Amino acid sequence: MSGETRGTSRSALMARLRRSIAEIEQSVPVLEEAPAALPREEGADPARLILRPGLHELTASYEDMSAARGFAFAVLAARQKHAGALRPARKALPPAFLWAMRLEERREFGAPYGPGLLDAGFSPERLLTLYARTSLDVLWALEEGLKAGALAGALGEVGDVGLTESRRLSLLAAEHRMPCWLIRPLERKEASAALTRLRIRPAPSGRHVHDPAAPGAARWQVELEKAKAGPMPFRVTMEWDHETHCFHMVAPLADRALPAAPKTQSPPAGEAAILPLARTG
Amino acid sequence: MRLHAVDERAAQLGLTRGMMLTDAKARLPGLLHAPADLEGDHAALQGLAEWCLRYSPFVAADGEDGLLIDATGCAHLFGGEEAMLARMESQFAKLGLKAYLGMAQTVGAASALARFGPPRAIAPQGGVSEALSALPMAALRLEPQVLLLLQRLGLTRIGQLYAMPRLALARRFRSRVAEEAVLFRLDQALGRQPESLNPLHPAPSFRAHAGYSEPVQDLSFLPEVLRRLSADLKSMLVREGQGGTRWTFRALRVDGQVAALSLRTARPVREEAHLARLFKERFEQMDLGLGAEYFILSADEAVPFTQSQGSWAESEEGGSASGQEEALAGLIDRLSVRLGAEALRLQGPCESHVPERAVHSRPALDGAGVADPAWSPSIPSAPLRSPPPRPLRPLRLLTKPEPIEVMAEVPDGPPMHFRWRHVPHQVTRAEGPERIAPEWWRLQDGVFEDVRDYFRIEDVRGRRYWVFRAGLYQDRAQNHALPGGAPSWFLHGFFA
Repeated sequence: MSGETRGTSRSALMARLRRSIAEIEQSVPVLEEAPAALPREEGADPARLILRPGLHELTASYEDMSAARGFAFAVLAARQKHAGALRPARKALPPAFLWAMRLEERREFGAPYGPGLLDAGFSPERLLTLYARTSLDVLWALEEGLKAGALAGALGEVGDVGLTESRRLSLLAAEHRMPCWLIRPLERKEASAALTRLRIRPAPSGRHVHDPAAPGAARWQVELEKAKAGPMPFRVTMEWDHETHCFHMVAPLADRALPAAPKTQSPPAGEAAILPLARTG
Repeated sequence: MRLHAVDERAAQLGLTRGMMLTDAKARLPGLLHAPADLEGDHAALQGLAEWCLRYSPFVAADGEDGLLIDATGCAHLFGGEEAMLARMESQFAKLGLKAYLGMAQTVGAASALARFGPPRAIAPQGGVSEALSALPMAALRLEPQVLLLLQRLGLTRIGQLYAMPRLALARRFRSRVAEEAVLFRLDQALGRQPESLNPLHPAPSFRAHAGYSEPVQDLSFLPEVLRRLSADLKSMLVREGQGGTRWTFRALRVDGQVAALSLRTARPVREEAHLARLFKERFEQMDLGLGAEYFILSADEAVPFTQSQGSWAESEEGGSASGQEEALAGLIDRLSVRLGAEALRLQGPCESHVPERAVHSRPALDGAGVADPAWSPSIPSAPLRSPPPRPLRPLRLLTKPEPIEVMAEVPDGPPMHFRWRHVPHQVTRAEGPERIAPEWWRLQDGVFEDVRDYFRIEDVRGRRYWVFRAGLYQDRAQNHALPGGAPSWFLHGFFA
């Protein structure tokens, strides 16, 4: 038996095991596109992982919260495009989303701003924004949102979530086959039943095509900390293209010293693997 | 101090309203008295008026001590007019109140009969003038000085006015105001002048009610009551092809108080299940006191109900478009009812280039049927590479711009360093300025006081902010009133 065949049978076995675990947990099916045989850094796309139906967590430290929210809006935009493409008959009305937060967060970081969302590729007319008093109200609203079956996704900014609450959300999301995202501060380290947890850090933006001194396309450093039925943890820099509504993975910048810099075969000289499309002024 | 009101017993002993308290106490040393609570009386009367909604949807308070009930078309529900009044009397007696009742075709006559007529007086059809003729002039709701004038003229009974020619009556009064008042009130009582009551609540479009012989005290029974009422209401709404958008559920308590819940829905509703879900969240707020025996559910506002029927072709992937819309409206209702209509919001674009005025945020409940101006993409899609009409806007906008400390390389240029919420940031990249001036009609004294130069900046870690400098730099520098002429900077929003 050659090493190669052993490798494939091994990966097939892993896939089978994963599938049966997923069945037991009644969670989503395993991603076939992310076989463990591929190098981790290239094999999985965090954006694809967190568009799966189920509960996902985005965490960031306090000062990076705005970046996490920005990333979340990009995820919403990708989901909106995806959901809209699935249902061309409903093209007249974009899919609806619920964004629930506490009044506290609005006071501190402002409210989602329609014109900006539109610039980022998300059409805001059916974004239900909820300003609740407590985290409990936010969680309740998310549960209702998942149960209603009228949304394309629900997102909540919460201070703390216990294991029970996250398990409830996770089960509901799986049952109604809908993605649900939680933005949590990093400082809260409670266990959770989420499928995926991403740690978001801001990253210097891509190059602006017209003006090198100006900020270009938004980028984040995304660290996959946990993925049920998914690849092992890794870290990658991602860029949002608001025109095609796609995430791109960016090779690490040459001048960036990362302790755990992923090693790709051919890092393109100093810049993005995929150049950002025309950045607007 | 004077007596404001006396009870029956005191009246028998010769005390009257308006008597000096010292006189009264001299006559009856054992007199019990308490200071009058006018506001409390008023509130109690309003509460009692609510409670009387069980008799008719049109109820109003009459002065400080009366209630007007429009019983048109209601008496038959109680088995006739006499039976209705008898029922009222006994139900008021249960509350510990003695009710003086009168019924007539006009508000004026009913008020006169109730206050001065025999118990449970009913003026027969066409017999109003006869019923009133023996009553004293005070029954006409006249000012005390006018009454005094009438008394001086020897006119004490209303009937005396009937025979008198109007001109003669006019001549006898010196004051034109008094004459007009008497004739006006007389005409109102006799139905020659229209008078309508001003009801407590506008007439609900649809209402259903149910009484229980045993007072309901247990909140867990309310869903059952609601189910019964909403089933009644639904059949009415279906018959008329309507759906309700504003709902009130009232529980009339045995102690004469009323507990009420009101809510709105985003779309016209008539399904019992939907109403039950919405009210369920709020039942715990209802205070039934010692129990409630009568319940009213009203659709205060109803609009034509659009039949929803999804096309079968769409239903393959879990629910038709219209079903989805309905589910969304249901979700909006549920969230708004529990967390407040103000908490759940949608936003639409507004014609303004001032950032905070460019969006219009409204409660999601108000969205029903309102066509928002659509958000049109400001950035053309991929094939068109024309420059966008305006620079990018942030994803989150602070309600109130926050002041920041800024160090700029050149006075007019973008910031190099800034400090926001005590944390220093080093700027690596910047774009701008984008000058945004208020609309010309908002200019103050022709001075651009609120001109802003916006910059899109990125700090060394990659966090992106929207900041602006307030005012024109030259203006500031020349203005010696400002210390140093240093411009003020603000942080207004966050990019991804």
